[in-house]
Amino acid sequence: MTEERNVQKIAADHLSWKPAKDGRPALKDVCLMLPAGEFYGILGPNGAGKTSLARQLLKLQKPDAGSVVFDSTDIKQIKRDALARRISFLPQAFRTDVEFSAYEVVAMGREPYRRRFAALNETDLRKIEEALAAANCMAFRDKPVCCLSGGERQRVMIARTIAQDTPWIVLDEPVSSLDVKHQLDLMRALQRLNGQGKTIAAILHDMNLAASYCTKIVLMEQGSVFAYGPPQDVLTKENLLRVYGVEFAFLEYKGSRMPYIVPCGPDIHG
Amino acid sequence: MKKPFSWIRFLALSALLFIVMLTAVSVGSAELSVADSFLILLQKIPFVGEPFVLPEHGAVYEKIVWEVRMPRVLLSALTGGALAVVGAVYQGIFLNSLADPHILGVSSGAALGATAAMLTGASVSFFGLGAIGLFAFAGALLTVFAVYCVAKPGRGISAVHLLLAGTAISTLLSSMISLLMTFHHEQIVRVYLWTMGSFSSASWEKAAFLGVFVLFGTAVFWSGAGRLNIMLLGEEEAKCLGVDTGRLQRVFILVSSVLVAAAVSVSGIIGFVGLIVPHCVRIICGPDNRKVIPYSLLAGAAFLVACDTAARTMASPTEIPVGVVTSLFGAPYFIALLLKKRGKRS
Repeated sequence: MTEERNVQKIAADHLSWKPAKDGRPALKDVCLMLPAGEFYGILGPNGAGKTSLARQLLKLQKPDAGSVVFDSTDIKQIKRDALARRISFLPQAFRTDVEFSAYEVVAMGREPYRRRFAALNETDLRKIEEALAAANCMAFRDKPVCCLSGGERQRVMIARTIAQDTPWIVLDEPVSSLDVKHQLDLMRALQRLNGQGKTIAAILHDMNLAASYCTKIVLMEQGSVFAYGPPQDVLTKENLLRVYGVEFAFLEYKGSRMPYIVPCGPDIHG
Repeated sequence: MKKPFSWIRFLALSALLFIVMLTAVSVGSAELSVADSFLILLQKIPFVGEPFVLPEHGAVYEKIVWEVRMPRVLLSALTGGALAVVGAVYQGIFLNSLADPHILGVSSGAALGATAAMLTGASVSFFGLGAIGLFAFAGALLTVFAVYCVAKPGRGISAVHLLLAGTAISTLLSSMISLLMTFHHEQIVRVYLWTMGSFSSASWEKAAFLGVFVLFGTAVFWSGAGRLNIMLLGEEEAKCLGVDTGRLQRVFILVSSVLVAAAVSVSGIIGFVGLIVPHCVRIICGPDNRKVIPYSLLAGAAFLVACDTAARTMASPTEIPVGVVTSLFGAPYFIALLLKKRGKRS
């Protein structure tokens, strides 16, 4: 593979999109420059445009105005298979009736590299094994995906995304159906991938996970980027109150790098 | 997925199909031994066939096997294969396990075309197809075109729109056939029998006509089978894995429609094969389309040859419509497979 797959930056340039012609815009003139190498956490209340933004980065939706630019190439110019070697996506929900085994689904992550009719090569097999291990899927690797629990299924899809081995990985609520241990395992695995030079962008609802693992936070509100920067600058009392309409307390505790962010209010803390 | 396709299984299934076909050409009002039929067929192979000497009454038997039964067996095999393969493809592309080859209204279009040919008494013939076949073929293609135009609202096609448009247009055409029937009582039986499917007018030309479509269609489907697998994860996942889903759908639907149109125009409407055979194959060999497509081709062929042989021999000299036999034998078998699968799960 001689193709240059690395993308030094992805930019959203005055990006706007409405799901319905006469509806509320999901993205309003979003301008955002994402340099490679970071671990981005995309946060914001429901309907803030997080998923819409992610879908634009994957060319799953035509914007009404503006564009997404990979380095200096408009995403419109990039073919699907070439795009799939640069950026991968874990959607929020997936089909539950897939009868393929976990291994087979993870192997599908190698599709962007395969020539038609070619069998999986050594690199493919190695990447599949690594991805299965990284996402903790070894215990059920040969079971049909439809027979797995929700959390296990989510880990299979994460493994598939990792097997795709793209320099950019976008994940839409990757921890939503995982228990605490698997949440931490996943965040650590993503951090490790980030350390290996991959750029991660994860849509998250858990501010504390975001604050501890992400290097940059994109805080969205009503289709726009409200704040962007390192966690300690973006996740402030004022910003969170403005965006979520909820008071938060920042609890310092011994030995922690970041304060612990918890919602508070008369109904919770009297 | 490590072993996407096994040549041994494929050859075993091909051998099974060959045995079924050989048995089928031996059975009928003139009983031949399987060995004799085999000899007659061997003798027809260019260059290697000459040393084989025909048994007693060779010339008569040769005529029966080669000119009467073989085209019919071949045509039913090709039709069965075509319907099963298209069923497998449609079930994948529409992510709908109830999809069958007739779901886009192709068959209603063919039936209307055939009815029109019978009522007008048109007589044209081209490549072994008479007026009925040609009108049916044209009707089927026009219908798919109409369905496609209705379902395509500008950008991209939606599977649900296609299915709904197919059902709506199919219903419209069926009512037109009924209307035509009301005014032409004398043709009711003929039209009705045509819609139930039959291979009694098979010929080598018809088999060659359909064979071209089956070869081409299966090649297209098989080359896209890996991408069809990925579509099973969902359309957006497939896009993120680099599959041009819109193009895959367009190509597969176009090729499928033409293939079904060709099959229906030489055989009439035969239900059940396209719906059930792919499911049976999946229950036995799993969901991987790189297996499901070639195995459905062979299994569909063997199944329909067996059904057609039963149709022409069970109540001889009366022929039972082959569509009746496919359901009569296929449905209980399918129910048994479903129950067995259910038993395994729980």
